[in-house]
Amino acid sequence: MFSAKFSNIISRAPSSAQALDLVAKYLDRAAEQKRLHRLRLDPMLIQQISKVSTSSELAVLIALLTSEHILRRVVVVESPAGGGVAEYDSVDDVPDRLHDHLRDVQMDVTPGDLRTVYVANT
Amino acid sequence: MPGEIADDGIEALNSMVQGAEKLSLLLKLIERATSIAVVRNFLKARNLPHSAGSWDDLRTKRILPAIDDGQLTLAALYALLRSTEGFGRQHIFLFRCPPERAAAMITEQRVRNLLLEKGIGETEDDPLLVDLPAEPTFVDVRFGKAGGVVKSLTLKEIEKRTSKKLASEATDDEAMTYTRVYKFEHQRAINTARLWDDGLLEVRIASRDNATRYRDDLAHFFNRLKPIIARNEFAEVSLRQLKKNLWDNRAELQHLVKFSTYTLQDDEGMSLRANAVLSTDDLAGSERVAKSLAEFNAETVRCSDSNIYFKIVENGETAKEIHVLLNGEDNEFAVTAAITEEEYEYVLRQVLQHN
Repeated sequence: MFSAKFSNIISRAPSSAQALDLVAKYLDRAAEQKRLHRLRLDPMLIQQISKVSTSSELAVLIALLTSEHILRRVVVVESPAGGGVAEYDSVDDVPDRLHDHLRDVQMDVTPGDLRTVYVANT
Repeated sequence: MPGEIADDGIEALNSMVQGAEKLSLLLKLIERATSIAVVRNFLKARNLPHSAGSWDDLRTKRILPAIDDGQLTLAALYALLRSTEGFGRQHIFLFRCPPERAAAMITEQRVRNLLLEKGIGETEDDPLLVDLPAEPTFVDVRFGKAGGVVKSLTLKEIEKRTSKKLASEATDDEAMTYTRVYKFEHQRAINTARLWDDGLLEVRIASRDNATRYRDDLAHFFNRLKPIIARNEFAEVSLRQLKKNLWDNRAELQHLVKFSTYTLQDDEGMSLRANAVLSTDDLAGSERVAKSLAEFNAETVRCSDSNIYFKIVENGETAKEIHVLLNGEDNEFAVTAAITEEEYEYVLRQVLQHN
């Protein structure tokens, strides 16, 4: 479903073609299984899927995928109890303090509580 | 003139003072890095008197007399510091480059020239002794050799870290305020990089008291390692297979590995975590846990983190268990307690062998 978008970015960044192709296949397979909207890909998983070997290549790849609106970044605040308690578009939007409904306490958010995942723009 | 000391006398005195200061710092660093038992064994191995109940006794009754008698050298004490400091309490990141590139990078002449350009001279037998340098400082370079051929290059750096510790708390009812005062504390952190002629690179970053992620520390250390070791020459070594293999082969590895936590996560962000309660418990001993994890496992599932213990077995009995944290970056593992050089090498061998 993203083939036009992938062709577009592969022509813009041919050096990432192989990695983009692997991500495209992964998303296509998830779409066939009708679970594209359920994917929550963290950077490490994107690295495994795309088989890129360095953090800088991964950063470029993710920038390409988000700039073409194939993936969307979500910043999740995780409760120390496990599980997410709030989601934001960017780190700047995360408040210093929020209600952790999983424990029913006010929680001071630290960088260690944040997790970034990417969801498919369906 | 009577009472005046000749220039060569002052020089000799200065040199003695410097020597004493150096020895004092060396002993302080050894004391901080290891235990009395390790130093006693070190003396015993040299057939020197070694009984001591405290660090003071060890210093004044054993080490200093042995140095005065010429039975113990500063070089031997440096070697002891090298083998005890900077092992464990570290997050280790693995990388790889083609062997021919690694062999070229660890050439002794090249490394020494580049170090000289950085202002670091010969340190082979006399590593620079620093406690809390203002800027991260390379203090030791070591070439591991076999048959005269350089097999590995080790660079050690000392970094002064500053953290905050709660010093006092005060409540002012009238102003309706509550004030906490934090005190800055400095710590001596040791970061190490070791590059092997087969292309393997270990980058070991000292653990922080208050952080779980080391991406920034790693990037900064790589910056300081330039141009001796250039980050862009290396690919990360994924430890995904290690986490999978250890669990899959847990029955055969029962004498070697113990699991305290194990988390599986799928590509939809769903996760299943198994925890043991006591540090003596082994998750691998629970069939119900194994069945639950197996039920959740699928092609899209991976182990996101695990706490394990590598067992050191002597005479058929577990002599020691070394806690290893498998989380963070894909190429990262952590040894959470201070260990010896031999123990670190053992852990590294296990990690590589099962990956």
